[in-house]
Amino acid sequence: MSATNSPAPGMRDPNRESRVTMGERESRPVFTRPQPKISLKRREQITGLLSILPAFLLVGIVVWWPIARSFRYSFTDWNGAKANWIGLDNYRNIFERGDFWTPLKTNFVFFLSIPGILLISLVVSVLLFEETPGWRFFRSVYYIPTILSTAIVGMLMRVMFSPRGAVNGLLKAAGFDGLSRNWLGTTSTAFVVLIFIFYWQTLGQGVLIFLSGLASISTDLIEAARLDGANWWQRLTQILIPLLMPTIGFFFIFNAVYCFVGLFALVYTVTNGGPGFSTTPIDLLIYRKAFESGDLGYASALSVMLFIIVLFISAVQLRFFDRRSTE
Amino acid sequence: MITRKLSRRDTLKIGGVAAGAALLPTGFAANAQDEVTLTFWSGTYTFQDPTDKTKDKSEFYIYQAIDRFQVANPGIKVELENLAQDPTMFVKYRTASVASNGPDIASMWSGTYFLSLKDFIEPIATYFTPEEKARILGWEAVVENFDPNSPDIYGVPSGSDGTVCFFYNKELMAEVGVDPATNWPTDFEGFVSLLEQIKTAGTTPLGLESYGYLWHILMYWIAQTVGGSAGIGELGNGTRKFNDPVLVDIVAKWQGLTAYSAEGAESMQISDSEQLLLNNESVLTTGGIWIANDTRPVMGDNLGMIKIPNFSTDAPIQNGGIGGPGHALFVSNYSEHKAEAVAFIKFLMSPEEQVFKAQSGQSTLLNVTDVDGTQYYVDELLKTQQTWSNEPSTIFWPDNTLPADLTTEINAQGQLVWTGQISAEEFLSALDAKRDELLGA
Amino acid sequence: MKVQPVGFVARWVIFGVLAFLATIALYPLFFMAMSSIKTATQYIKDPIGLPNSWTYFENYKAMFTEFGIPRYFWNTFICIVGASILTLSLSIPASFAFAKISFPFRGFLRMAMIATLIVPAITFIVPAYVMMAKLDLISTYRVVILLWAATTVPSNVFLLSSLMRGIPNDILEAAKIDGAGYWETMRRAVIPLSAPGIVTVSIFNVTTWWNDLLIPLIFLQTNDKMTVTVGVSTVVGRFSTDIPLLITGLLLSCLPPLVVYLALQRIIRRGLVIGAVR
Repeated sequence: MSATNSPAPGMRDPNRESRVTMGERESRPVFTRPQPKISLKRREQITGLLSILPAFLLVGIVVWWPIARSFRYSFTDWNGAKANWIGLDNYRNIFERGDFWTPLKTNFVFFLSIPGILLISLVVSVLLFEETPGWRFFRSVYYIPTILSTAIVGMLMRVMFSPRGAVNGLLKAAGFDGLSRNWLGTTSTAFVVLIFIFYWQTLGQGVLIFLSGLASISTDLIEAARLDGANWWQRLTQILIPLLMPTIGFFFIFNAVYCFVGLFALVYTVTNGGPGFSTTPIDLLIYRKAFESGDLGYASALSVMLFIIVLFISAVQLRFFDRRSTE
Repeated sequence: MITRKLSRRDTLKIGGVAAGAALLPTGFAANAQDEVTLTFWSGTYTFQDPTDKTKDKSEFYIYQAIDRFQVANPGIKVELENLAQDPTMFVKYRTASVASNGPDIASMWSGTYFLSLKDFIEPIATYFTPEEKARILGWEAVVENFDPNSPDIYGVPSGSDGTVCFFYNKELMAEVGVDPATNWPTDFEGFVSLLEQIKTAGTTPLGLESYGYLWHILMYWIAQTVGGSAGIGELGNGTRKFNDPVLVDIVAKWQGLTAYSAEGAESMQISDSEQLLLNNESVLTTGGIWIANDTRPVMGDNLGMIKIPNFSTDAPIQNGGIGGPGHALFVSNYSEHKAEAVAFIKFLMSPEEQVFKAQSGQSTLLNVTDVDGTQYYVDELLKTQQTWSNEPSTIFWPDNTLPADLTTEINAQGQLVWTGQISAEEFLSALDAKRDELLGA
Repeated sequence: MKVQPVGFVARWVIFGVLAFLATIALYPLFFMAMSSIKTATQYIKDPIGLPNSWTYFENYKAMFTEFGIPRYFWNTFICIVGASILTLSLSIPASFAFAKISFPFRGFLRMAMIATLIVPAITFIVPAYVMMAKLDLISTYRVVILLWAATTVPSNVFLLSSLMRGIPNDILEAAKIDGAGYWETMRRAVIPLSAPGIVTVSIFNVTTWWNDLLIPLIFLQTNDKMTVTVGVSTVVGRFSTDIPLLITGLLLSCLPPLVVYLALQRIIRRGLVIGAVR
């Protein structure tokens, strides 16, 4: 109850104020009665804003300010040394050249593969949850691909999927001669390899997140459902998934962003964007334009376009998941 | 003696030449308190010895060279930073240079790779006397438009990669009854019949990798037909068309080589093609002296080296190969110690240093006229490469001659035409289209 | 904690599936270990097979002496510790504010913070470099710490704010009633309850930073400040790379995050509890 009597530090003492205007007995009660609700609320607001201020300061200076400069450069022909204003020429070129839409298709292919890994991670997490023998070991092991740097992953995968590599070797040994092929030589199989790697590295992350989520769901709820006759699949889809929505949302959005802005390293080391340009994602294109062609202005314009698109997609997803996460 | 007044650009240009002459090899007597520190980013000198992996850094050639330079020039310190020898070094240099915060000197890949950084590089022609220039070979690798007489020279070619050729398994070749020394094909038809012989005998003739299948063979044949670097330059600047019946013929015939090569060449690594050779699963592979370094420990004298057959007997350039001065040393134009930086470069190119370099066997082949590398090399193949590399028939790397975007396009389309997904004509038209787009933009 | 008893056969089928996945996940470590004790030529001849000798440790020796990997480990360690402290001290209060404190534009600001996730590093790296060069911060630990912290605050805030929403309000009310101010509430209630989530984001952060190549490559220009990823990448040669040597470096460099993960995963298991269920 102390909050109502002693004023918060830094706030003017309302009691003190009343002494100054003494003489007006009628208004006294108004002044002697402290107004905790408004001042508390204001205090809370200030606390809130101050809490986020350092974070915004750091991110604003280190990330947003350079982005703003980059945005400005997108209207120039900047090559690092000189920058002449050319207005919307870069953007016009993006639309005319079709440079932008083809790589974007590559990103979309990855984006569309997210539900697959989501489902796999969920199922594996539930399976691990059954605590079959060795589950602790498996849980540790699945995270290893996630930890590996793209350098080693790229090198390893190239070696394994080369026409004389381990994958073809294993297929032949198992009698599936027809399946062995030049994996990185055609676009469709190259995508299969890339998506396999993406799944392989993301499984650990998914298992990590979902296992924790599962651990918190009350078992009574699930028992009740089982007693009601729900089978394994129904339990998964109608109880577990809805309850896990916030973590599913995080997983989905985080990986969606990765599919648009983080693929570059992986594709560069495994297929270098080939065959042809068919597996070149948009951020690899930006890298090439910026550092191989030295066309930093154009690369900035591409980044701005990418940012707008991903922002839109993420906003839609956030809305979708936020709605399903609140009660 | 020369004092720090040489910081003004004009005096530098004139005085630079004089300074350069005076600096070598006797030394630079700067004032003791004016110690100059040069940062040197090396993207080309080696710090690894496969035979002795615990060697200390100080035992490698470039460190010893720096020591010698510092002793001869008290008052100048050179700080070496070792970069990864892949395209990230250009990213690093470019970013640093935007803020004028890069090194004073750098050594990187020559041609369009480093020329794309020319906005940050100090033109170096005025620092060299004609005599100094004449004793170094390979200036077309460091000028725009590959005109050795152009005043816009941005760096100093600092060594040669040798000449790309075929490396082969002598035993397997002998089994087929072919002795390359006496009986080597002189045109494409002859080459194909050789491949046919090998294939019938039971081994895959060619084991190629994702750079070599295209640049070592196809682009070599195109380059020798259009007259070398000048012709490649014409393809790059639009004076010559890619989609020309002569070139279509070359591409179409080259496509036929897939029947004789191991599958997947367009995505294989160098180590993959070497693996085929080492395991006797292929007879020929393309490359330079690095192939020998990698495969000798296993193949020993069974490794043979022979030039790639000419496409036709009436190509303007015969019996060559691509290669040449793939490295360049250059000075940043924001460097505050340009005179000293140039002095260091001249030191590295001096006859005495070139001898040390050859003796170390740790670096690229020599590209100077007054030192004969073959006197110092022990390896026979290395000696042959040295002799080949300075011949005029060695064509400078075409991918360093063409604009970067066009090179990327060739790499991309090459995979499609090799696997037959597009035709020879479509391939060449795509290149024309890309080139025109680059010129028009 | 079992959900329901599963049939015997089903359990072993599940075990089979999980074991198969585990083999795929473990194979790279096995491959790296085997390759690191081969000579370069041996690797070229037979990349996938077993090594000829089990005692060829030259690659490891080279990493420790010639390449000076201990120095790189130390540099990386300092940067990671610094960045962790910085990012957590900024992310935790911010996440708490977004979760539990009401203030104007809260929703919009949260979106803005999360939107920063979308920016690819290559976009802002050149202007950021120019700015840091002007501040004379290039080739210092500070610049890497600042950049690493700044680029992870958005994802930390994203996850932590979702988790903190789940902190029961009664606990916070009780703390207020006890007279706890802002910092005390943090210390006594928020942080302990969010500990699993904090550990989770820390693991994500450390993994990301440890494998980051671009920022240390560009901003650390001197050999003595390089991180492990950059140091190992200098093994790459133009035509010919000593692949076993490179792999040894990569293997050594992936061990610390693995150790961190194994040590901390217990806490994570109990983690993400708060807020995952609403």
